[in-house]
Amino acid sequence: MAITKVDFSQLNILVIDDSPFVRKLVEEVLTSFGVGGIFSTDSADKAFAQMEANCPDLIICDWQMHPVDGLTFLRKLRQDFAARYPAIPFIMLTGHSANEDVSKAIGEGANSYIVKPFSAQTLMNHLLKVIVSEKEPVDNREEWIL
Amino acid sequence: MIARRRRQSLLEKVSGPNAVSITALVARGEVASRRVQEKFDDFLKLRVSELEAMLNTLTDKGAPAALWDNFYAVVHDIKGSSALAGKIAVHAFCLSLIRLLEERDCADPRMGTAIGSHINALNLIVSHGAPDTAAQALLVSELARAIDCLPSKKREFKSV
Repeated sequence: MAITKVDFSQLNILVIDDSPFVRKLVEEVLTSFGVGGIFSTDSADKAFAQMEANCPDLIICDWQMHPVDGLTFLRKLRQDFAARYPAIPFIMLTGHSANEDVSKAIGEGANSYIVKPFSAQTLMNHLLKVIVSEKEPVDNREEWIL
Repeated sequence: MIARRRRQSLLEKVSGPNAVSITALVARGEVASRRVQEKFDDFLKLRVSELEAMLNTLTDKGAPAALWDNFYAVVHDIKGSSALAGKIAVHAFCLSLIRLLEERDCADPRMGTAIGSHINALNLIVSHGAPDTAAQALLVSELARAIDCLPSKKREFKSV
C-alpha cells in the first residue's frame, strides 16, 4: 500500500539515545514531520519510566548506549514487558551495518534498522515501513470489555 | 465472552484529515537535519574542551573513578554524535580513544600522554577541519601504536 500523505499529529514517539546531539537531531526532524508527541530519554533504564507516563506508539532507540545498550533494552521490552507493551514498533539506530548485526536486531524483535548517518528521507521511509507493516494492535493497558 | 479492546492502528492514526504530502515533510526534515548538523562543529569544540579540562586532573594519582566515567561518557557522546553527523575522522579518533580507555592500564604514567595525543587529533579537526583520508589513516595508525605500547588492563565504565 503506497501512502502519499500523512498526518503524524496523533503519533507519540519515544526517542532513546545517550547522545544529546543525536537526540536533538532526531527530535528536530520528527518535529518537522509534524509528530504530535515526542518524548526522549538518555538511557534504557529511564525509558521504562518514560513509557509509564506516556506510552509511545513507536520507539526509536540507539544500539550503542552505555551502560545498557539498545539490544538489551529491546530484549527486555519484548520478553519481560511483552504483556504490558505488546508489539510496540521498534526502530533500531546504529553505526553497525553488518548483516549479522541487522539479523541480531531483527531476531530480538526490532521492526526496522537504520544505519547512521541517515537522512530525513531514510527516517521517513522507516517510519512508513513500520506503520504500514504493523500487526493487529491490541492494547493490554486498557480495560477488558464484555 | 471477553474480548480485548482493539486500539487504533498506526495507519489509522496517521490518516487524519490534515495529512500533508510526504515529499513536503521530507523536505522540511532535510532542512531541520541540516540546521542541527551545522551545529556539530560548535558541539565538538565544546566537548573537546571539556575533555581537555578533565585530562588535567584525570591522570593525577587518586583521581576518582567517577571522573574517568565522566570522561568516558563524553568520548562516547562525541563518537555517537559524529556517526550521525557523518564526521568519519572524529568517529575514528573516538573509537581509538575508547579502545585506549577500555583496554589499557589507566595507572600507567604514559596514559596521560596517550590520551592527550587523541585530544590533539580531535583539536586538529576543531581548528583545521577533517584531514584527508590518507592523513587520517596515518594518524589512526600512530594512535594505535601508542596504545599498543601501554600495558593491557580491562576497565569497566559506569554511566554518569
